[in-house]
Amino acid sequence: MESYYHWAVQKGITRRDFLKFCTMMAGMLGLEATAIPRIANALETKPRLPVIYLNLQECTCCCESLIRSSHPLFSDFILNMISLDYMETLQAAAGEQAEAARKKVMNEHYGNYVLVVEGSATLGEGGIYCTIGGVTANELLQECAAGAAAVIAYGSCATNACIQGAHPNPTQAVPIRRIVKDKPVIDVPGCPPIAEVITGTIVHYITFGTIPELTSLGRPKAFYSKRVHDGCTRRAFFDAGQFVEQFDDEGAKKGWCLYKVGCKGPVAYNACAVTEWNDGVSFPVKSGHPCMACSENNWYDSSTPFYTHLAEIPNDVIGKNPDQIGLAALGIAGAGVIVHGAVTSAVRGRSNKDGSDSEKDTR
Amino acid sequence: MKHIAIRRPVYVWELPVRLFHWINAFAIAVLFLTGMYIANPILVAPGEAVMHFIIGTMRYWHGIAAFIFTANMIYRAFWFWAGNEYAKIRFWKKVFWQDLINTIRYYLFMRAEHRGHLGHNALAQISYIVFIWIFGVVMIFTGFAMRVGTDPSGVGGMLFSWVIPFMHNENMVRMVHHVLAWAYVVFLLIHLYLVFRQDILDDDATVSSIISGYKYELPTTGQSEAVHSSDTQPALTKGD
Ligand code: SF4
Ligand code: SF4
Repeated sequence: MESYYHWAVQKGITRRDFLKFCTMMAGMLGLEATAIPRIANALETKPRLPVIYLNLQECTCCCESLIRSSHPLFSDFILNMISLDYMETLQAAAGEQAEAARKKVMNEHYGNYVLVVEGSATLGEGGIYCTIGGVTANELLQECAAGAAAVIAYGSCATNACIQGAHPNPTQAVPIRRIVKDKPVIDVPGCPPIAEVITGTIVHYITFGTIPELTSLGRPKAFYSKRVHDGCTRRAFFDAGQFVEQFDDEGAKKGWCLYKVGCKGPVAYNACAVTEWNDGVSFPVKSGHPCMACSENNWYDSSTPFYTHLAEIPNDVIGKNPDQIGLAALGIAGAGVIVHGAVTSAVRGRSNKDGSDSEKDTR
Repeated sequence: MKHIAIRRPVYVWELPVRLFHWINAFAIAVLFLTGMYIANPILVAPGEAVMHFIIGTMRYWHGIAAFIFTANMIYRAFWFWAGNEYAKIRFWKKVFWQDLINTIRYYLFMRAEHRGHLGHNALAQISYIVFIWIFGVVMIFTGFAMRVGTDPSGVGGMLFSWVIPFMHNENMVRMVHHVLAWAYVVFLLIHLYLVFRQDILDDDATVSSIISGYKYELPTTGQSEAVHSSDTQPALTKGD
């Protein structure tokens, strides 16, 4: 099979651009300069990695993000890596033909292909909420995962069931990790994730033959070990104590921190602030919208209401924030103390009258 | 006056225990105030950001107080083992649970006298286990988890990076940390009330003992359960 480099040259990509791409990848993955030749070498010599891309219960925003990676080599890289083999939304084939193509890849490269999954599996009612090619999303996932070398859960649906997994989760949507237990699963969350992140993850796999180092949440460290807040362009205003109070106030015009209008950047582990979107043009917080922590587990439940302060009880379930609850508890305790003190002095006053004899005895 | 003469001062709280108490009180006060400010930053810094570091300063002192609080807890845990009898909690003993029931009945006015406790009564000990030890450990783990994040490398990562996946997401970690902070204020209120109440009713120097270390024996101390007949009469006399 041809290597990535051969394929890129055929597409008219120059060697200079190819090396730029390798350098960029090394930078994004947080590798040292000596890794650049290794990446170049791997892409020049190793055969192209077969990839099967499944679309389960999802909204296809991850695909949209993927095809909008603006670096020309990035997008070609991604599209050609996956659409050639199997990706419902982008492949030319349809119906039986498409399924046959998938089976062919699975048989020929059994144990060697990478499975990228977008969307969640559903367990409700035996999985009927999402069926593809006559089988449930679950069955399809298990079938494809059986022969995969590694599974990449791409997007928040695949990593944490995202919005359809929000309370009360009628379809019983579950993350890929809950279904695929015997293969290494790499979580690449976000709603959607940044396209470059999945390219980086795959390049890492091709170069080193192993999955990248993961954080405790199972995500590639290179992209997900920092919070949006940690690299935010508005962070200086946070530290200084300058906050937007309303979207049309003076602070908003000056680009102050969005913490008080609901920014969840302090709890969002994602690469937005560093990699940014659309070839590094911007990212939501930089453009003036609070982060919603779309990459976090249960993010829809715990980040709503979106435009209230971070300390609101998740999803308004109680309709109070922790401070209101704390003050109420303090009030109850205060009332208890007052009542108890009153009873104490009442009881004591009475006993001093009734039981003054016994007191005299001991004193 | 006359009864002071017959009561003996006892050295109850050793210096390490008293130090623990005050360092703990100080650390909790700093942690609560800075923490609440980080959650609700009410001041607006005027002018350019470069002139100010309000939240940054709050986070800085919150972190310092957190380390002091944690070190102090470790030190007190050691003193459970090294300290005198009053520094220990022996909740596996039967008397502990009897005392717990008696103390609860005493505070509910169902029982007139209580046995003199030179150290803590069982109810107080339970409240320390819950508010200081259990909540304290949860505060330490959730707090440092937010500092460390999800990167499992390094000492901090090894110790704390599991907390965020364990609680599902960092928002939940933050929420737990924030709600429990309020528990400390509730605790402080009840703690102060009961301490002053004890001192007023029994005149045993409970309040000053945490500075001096000495408490006075109650006249009841050493006397046994023979006084239960007064249970029927809800009277708070000190003498039995
Ligand atoms: S805007 Fe959000 S992510 Fe940026 S510094 Fe403020 S709170 Fe943090
Ligand atoms: S800024 Fe926040 S909500 Fe927006 S994409 Fe990034 S992690 Fe998701």
